[in-house]
This record gives sequence, C-alpha cells and structure tokens, in this order.
Amino acid sequence: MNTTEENGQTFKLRLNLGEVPVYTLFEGEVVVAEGCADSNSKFNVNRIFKPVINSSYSVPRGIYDFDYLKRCQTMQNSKALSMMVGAGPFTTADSLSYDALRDLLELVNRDRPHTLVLLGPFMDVNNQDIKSGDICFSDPKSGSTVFMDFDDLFTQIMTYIKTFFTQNKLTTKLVIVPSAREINHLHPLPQPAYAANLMPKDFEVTLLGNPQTFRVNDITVGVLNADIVKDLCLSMVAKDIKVPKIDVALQSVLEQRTFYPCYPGNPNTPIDWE
Amino acid sequence: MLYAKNIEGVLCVNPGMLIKGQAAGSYATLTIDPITLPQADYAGKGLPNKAAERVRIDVINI
Repeated sequence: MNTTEENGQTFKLRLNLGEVPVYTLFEGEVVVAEGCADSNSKFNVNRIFKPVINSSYSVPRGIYDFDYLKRCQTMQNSKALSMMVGAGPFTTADSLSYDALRDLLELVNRDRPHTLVLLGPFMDVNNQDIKSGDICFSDPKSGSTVFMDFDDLFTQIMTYIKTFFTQNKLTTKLVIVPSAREINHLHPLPQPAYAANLMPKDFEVTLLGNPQTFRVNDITVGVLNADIVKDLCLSMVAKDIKVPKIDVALQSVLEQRTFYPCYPGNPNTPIDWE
Repeated sequence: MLYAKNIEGVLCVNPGMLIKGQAAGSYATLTIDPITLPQADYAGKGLPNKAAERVRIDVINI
C-alpha cells in the first residue's frame, strides 16, 4: 500500500490481510485500512473501508429538478427513447471491408433508434492492412487504384455513414467516441474527440472525448472506450467474495469515482496519469 | 465479458465489439421508458429519475 502524495512524501507499507475475512483489492484502489503496525514492518489490517458510491457530488441516481423531469416527460410524449451502441473494430483483423459497419447501419435503418453511439476504432492499429500502411481501393467508377492515407480513409468512412444517413432519411442522432486503438488518433486516455476537420461537411454528429458523459433527456450516460472491467479483474486480489468479480469491478469504478481506477493500467490501454 | 448489470442504481453495460477476431460480435440497445411523475405538485423540489427502473438493455449478437 502506498500513502498519499499529499503528505509531501510517500512510503510503502506491507499489509497483513490475514485477519480480514472478506476483501477485494486492486492496484490503484483508494481505501482506508484500520489496524496496527507491528515490529516486523508489516501493518496488520483489521478492517478495510471503501468510499461510498452515492455522495452529494457523484449523482448517478441523484436528485433532479421536478420541472426539468416534467419537461423531459413532455418531450418523450409517452414514448420510449431508444439508443443503439456499437463498438469497433468494424473490420476483421485481416481485411478492410467494413461489413460489420454496414450490417449495423442496416439495423439502425430497420430499428430507427433516436441515438446511435459509435465507439472506435474505425481503423484498428491491430488490423493487418492498417499496420502495413498500404491502403488502397479500386475506384468502382474509373477502375483505377486509389491510394490514401489514414486521414483520407477516416473521412471516407465518415462520408459513408453520412451518405447512408441521408439516403435513408435517418433522423438518428449520431454520437462518436474515440478509441486508443485508432491509428490516426494517437492520444492516451483521457482522449480528446476525433478531429472535426476530418468529418465531411454538414455531417450532424456529436464528437465526444474518451471517457465522457452525455445526457439524453434526463438520463446521464457515461462512456469509457476501454475494458476497465477486464483490467480490474486481472489486477484484483479477492478473498471469499460472494458476488462475481465483474460486479465488484463495476462497483469499484463507481466507488473510486473515476472511469479508470486501476493503476498502473493495462499496457494496451495507454493512459496519461498527470 | 459481455454484461448488463444494475450496480446500486447505476446501469453498466459492455456492448462488446462488432467484430471479434474473425467472427461477428455484438452491439447493445437501450430502451428508455418515459418517467412516471407523481400527481402531487413537486414544483421547485427535487426528485430522483429512477433511471435503472426505466431502462431496458439488450446485448445482441449481430
């Protein structure tokens, strides 16, 4: 266990958890441990305290103004809101045919949700063609081979989505979340949104950061494009817990009040800790 | 690991990826029912929006 840096100095402490009957801990978790230090430089823990989820400033189920809720109720007009969420990669690892994206858009056209949330990567760094950097396609009109760079391809994909939306007269609101695996978006988490100048003209899209929260009427949606649950489960030590590790991991995210409480994180998830 | 869980009134979902390796993956849909407000006049007062009770989440294989 590390002490906080606010004291001006940090020191590490070995914990003896033998006395604690049930616990889960992961690297980077902020907890309070109650117990006593003994001579062999170990700290014997009796109890572990964790932060509570629902405080006055983290408002997952917080208090909303009645008039605001009434407005939302009127806006929904007794109908259900629908949202579709699809996460990349949209291609198989060895091709650049965006079949999955097309399939998803067909489903969007069928179900006509109010909101579509697309999470990157659109151009996965693990894709073979992206890795080789050799991107070309044969133009169906002229039959000639066209070479392009990553930004061109990105704009091409966005234009494809935009064209699909206009052709089918979709009124779905589109939200796009970046990914750390996007080849032309080399920012560590927390990531800024995708560059707006890569979007086609008059494309109605909400570009979010990663992670970020947004609101659909009165429902607050927080989105993180990284597998925090897997990383937490891998980093977690647990003793005699009765609930699945996934539940503990999700609870920890809410308790720690950060989208990515694991420190150090998974090497595949680049993070700027400053 | 795909999941959709209610953790203390907060809904958590992993929609999965649309492509998993070579195979087709999954996506999620959320259906948000309109809120049912009490008849009494709560003007100027606060209320919870009971999000967890109004949202249905489906994780669907594509």
